[in-house]
Amino acid sequence: MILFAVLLGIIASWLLIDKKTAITNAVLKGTLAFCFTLSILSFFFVLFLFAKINFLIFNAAFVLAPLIYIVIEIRKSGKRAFASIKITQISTLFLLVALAGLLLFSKTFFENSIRWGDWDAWAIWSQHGLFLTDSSLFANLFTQDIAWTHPDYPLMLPSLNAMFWKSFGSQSAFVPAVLGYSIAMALVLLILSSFFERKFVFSGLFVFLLLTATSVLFPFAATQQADTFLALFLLIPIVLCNHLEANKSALLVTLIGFFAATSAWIKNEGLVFFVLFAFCFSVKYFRQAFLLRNFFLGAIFPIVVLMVFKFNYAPPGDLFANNDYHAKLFDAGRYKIIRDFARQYLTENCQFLLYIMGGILVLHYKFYLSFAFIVIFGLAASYFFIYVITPNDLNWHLSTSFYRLVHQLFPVLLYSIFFSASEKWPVILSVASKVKTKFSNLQKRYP
Amino acid sequence: MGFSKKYIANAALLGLFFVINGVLFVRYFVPNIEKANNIDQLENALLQVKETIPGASKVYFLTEKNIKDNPEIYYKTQFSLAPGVLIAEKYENIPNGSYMLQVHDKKIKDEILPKYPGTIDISVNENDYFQIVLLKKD
Repeated sequence: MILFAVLLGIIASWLLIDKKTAITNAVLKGTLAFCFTLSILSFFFVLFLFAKINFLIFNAAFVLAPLIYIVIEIRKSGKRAFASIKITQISTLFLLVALAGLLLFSKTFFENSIRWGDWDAWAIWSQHGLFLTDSSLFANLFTQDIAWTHPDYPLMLPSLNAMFWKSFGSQSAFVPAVLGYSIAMALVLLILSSFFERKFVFSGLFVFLLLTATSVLFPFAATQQADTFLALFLLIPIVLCNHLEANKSALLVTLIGFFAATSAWIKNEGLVFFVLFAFCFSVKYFRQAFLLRNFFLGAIFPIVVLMVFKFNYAPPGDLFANNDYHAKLFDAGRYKIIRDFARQYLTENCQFLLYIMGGILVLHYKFYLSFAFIVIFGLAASYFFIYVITPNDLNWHLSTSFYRLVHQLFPVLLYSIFFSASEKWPVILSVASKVKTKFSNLQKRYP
Repeated sequence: MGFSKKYIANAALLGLFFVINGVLFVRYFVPNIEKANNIDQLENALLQVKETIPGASKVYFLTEKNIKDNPEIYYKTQFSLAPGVLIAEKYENIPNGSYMLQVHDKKIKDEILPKYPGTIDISVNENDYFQIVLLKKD
């Protein structure tokens, strides 16, 4: 039954986005509809669980509500309801390349998959999900008695696992694995479709193939479901902002607020992202009341659910409890350890990204003043200060989490760089041509 | 109304994509996810313990080692017992009347589970990989 709820939710959300925004790309609408449906189901699953409402009522409500909306829409617009899905919109050659990329991505994902995933995937996220499957004992999770399970972590991924397990009547390892695959697919499809929406076909395919035909996202995409999930939700608001100028519909702005706030429902880092994003969005659009109103309207519901969880159920986190963070903030040695670790990791594992960041500095330095970069930089800076004040052993904390933070930020950073470059492509071409001319003049002068 | 050549070609490509992806799923994904690991072996060894202890009870994980040094067995036992709660604790700090678990990983050949005075053996379960001793503090 839950699969019907998911399918109907996606169709209903797709129709809503199709009707209320000017987004034309069917895959972009589909990816957004998928993420929106998962978010709504997760929020309501947890609310129904906290309110002790029977799971059958949850299932029935989320089959009937989208079904009624779909029927109303189809009765209103008939065949035109799905008229914007046209597989002839894309050239056969580009479709062939994109599907080949997706197949390579699937194969790499499947080969790297492990039953129950890697450490955090089972020890935190799936384990929390197992608690949430039991409507009478779920509150057992919210105790400090269980060592190192972080019961204060948000519940998006655990609630989705629990929802499917409960509906299937079996706690199968396929649930987190298939969910992880769907999330990873949504991530790469969102990037491709966002470029296609703005007709940046070549740069879109380039970034897409970079993510799908190489192993840059692996093995983490297949083994660390929560980090890929967060990477997707950090990406969505930035993607939607890139389509905002041409399309200032109330729903689109509401969705930006909704998805930015929902990232806080995935991991605690998402809350930092939401605060930063909301601040930058408010500064950028401070004269546009329509945008701000709809943005915060979209953010209210996810933030209310998060607050209900944090203030009524979650025990306090370990970041500030019994932690002498004042002394740590003024300990220069900690800054040096983090800098050295980050430098070594990035130069050994992310050379390509560093070259691209250097390249964009030369070709289009204004990217570093863009909304997207400021948010991403702010998030990276806050990760840095979390390491400075961490209550855990600093070297242990860095070695067990730094790669995951890079995995969270990598897709949104890569996407933003290439999208920004695509928007400024004519300018970049002229700069490149000037550089080339100067270079050839120098060669003539000093043969 | 007929379909254009582009429509037919794109539809055929999409169809082919779903077929190949399905084959890859069955060929690579399913065996990886079905391959039982030591979480499943431990879960299997803990079946009787789960039936014996009420879900609402707290169970103590008896160990003399620091959990942080070797957390794997503790974590995996907790995972298998969820939504039950497993508390890692030294014997002397465990309240009387509590259920306690000792888990022996048979890969570690020279490990001998310590005996404690004032405990009642409830059950001993084992498979090829783990031995689980359920005790109660008198």
